[in-house]
Amino acid sequence: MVSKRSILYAALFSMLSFSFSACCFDCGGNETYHSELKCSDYRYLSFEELNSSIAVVAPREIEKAAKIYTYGDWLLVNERNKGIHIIDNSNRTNPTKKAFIQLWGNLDIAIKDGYLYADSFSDLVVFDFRDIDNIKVVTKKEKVFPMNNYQAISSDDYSFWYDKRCGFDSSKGVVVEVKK
Amino acid sequence: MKKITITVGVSLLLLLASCGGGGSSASSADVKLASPQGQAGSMARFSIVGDYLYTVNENQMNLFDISDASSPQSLSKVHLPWDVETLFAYKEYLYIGASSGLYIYDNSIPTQPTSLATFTHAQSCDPVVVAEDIAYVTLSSGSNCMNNSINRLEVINVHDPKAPTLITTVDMWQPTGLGIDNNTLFICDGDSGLKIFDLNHSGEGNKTDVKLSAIGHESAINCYDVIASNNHLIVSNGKDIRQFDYSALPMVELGRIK
Repeated sequence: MVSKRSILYAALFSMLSFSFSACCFDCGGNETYHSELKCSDYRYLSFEELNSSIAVVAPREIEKAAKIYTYGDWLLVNERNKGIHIIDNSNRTNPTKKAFIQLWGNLDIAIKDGYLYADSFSDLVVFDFRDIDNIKVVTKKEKVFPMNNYQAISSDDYSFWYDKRCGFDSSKGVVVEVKK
Repeated sequence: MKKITITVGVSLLLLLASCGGGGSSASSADVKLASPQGQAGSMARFSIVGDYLYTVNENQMNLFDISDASSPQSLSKVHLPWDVETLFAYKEYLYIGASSGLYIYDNSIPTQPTSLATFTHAQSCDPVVVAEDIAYVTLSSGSNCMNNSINRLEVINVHDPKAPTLITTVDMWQPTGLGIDNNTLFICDGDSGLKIFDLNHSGEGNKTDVKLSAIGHESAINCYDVIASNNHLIVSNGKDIRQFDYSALPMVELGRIK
């Protein structure tokens, strides 16, 4: 015999499933219906891999310019959830991209006295920015901000859902991007 | 004051360069040190005030002592409403944009921000900027999944930050970032483009008032964030950054960064 409680659970579950299929999108305008994505489309990194992935690399094309920040003649552009473009803007009619800081989960930046503060998921990372040819991490304060392992996918936290569906472990890592 | 610092810094630099006879690669770092901190667009959730870094995220404000810039020290956390989106420091106050309203904190003791006032409005809010005791807040239906149809600019008298009062509202398409330089206000208004207003201030004290007149509309600029400073406008515009000179309108485009 089917109990009232199991019917209730079934109803709740179908409501939840429906709300996920209908509502899981990035409010920034990138509507992505997750039912169309395979688990292999998500790039999952362990916290160790995330930590070692911080790097200053060659300049790259801007994919989606988000927040901007100026510091003297320097212009910094946040590539949402991916890192920071470093641009020499001393000649405004011909600015030069100098480097890209790969910093997964980055959304915000600020600079004081040549030190760059940037978030990466729940961490605050400090870069020595005084010599543009030698930008390096000087401090990392871990777990200071609220954590959303899936911020690169959605503005809300569906950890348990991704963990269950794709075998991710939000106690051990994060999803850094959805591959195209 | 900042300009003087920069000028002195640059003059020193020129002096050093002329004495040292070259070494152009070193100059960029020295120029940077001439100004202690940078300028953020209005979408920022990080703000530096003196020796402190403030950050807002979801429902908390974090404080860091950065008197040693290379080694931030965590101070207390302040509990905020759950839906905080942006942070703007003005005078000894912190203006926090959240989807339930504008929150004003007294920051006269930098390590102890205390709640002063809340200016609530319909669910949906994005950034706030403040100039000459007037706060400009954009409300957008695109923010935070709030399924409403409110898209407008709210202009609020914050001369007394304990008692913010609405001056006027201006209907918008779907606004996000905004920036002010002297009497010119720039608003990224989604697919409708970049809108430019002249700000005509009058009154003072609690009668502080401002009249907005539309003086420009660049429908081809679909921007997210904006920085306006000294006739130089920078906007993030999807796949590229665009820069303009607005010393005379219509603005002159300086170039794009892709």
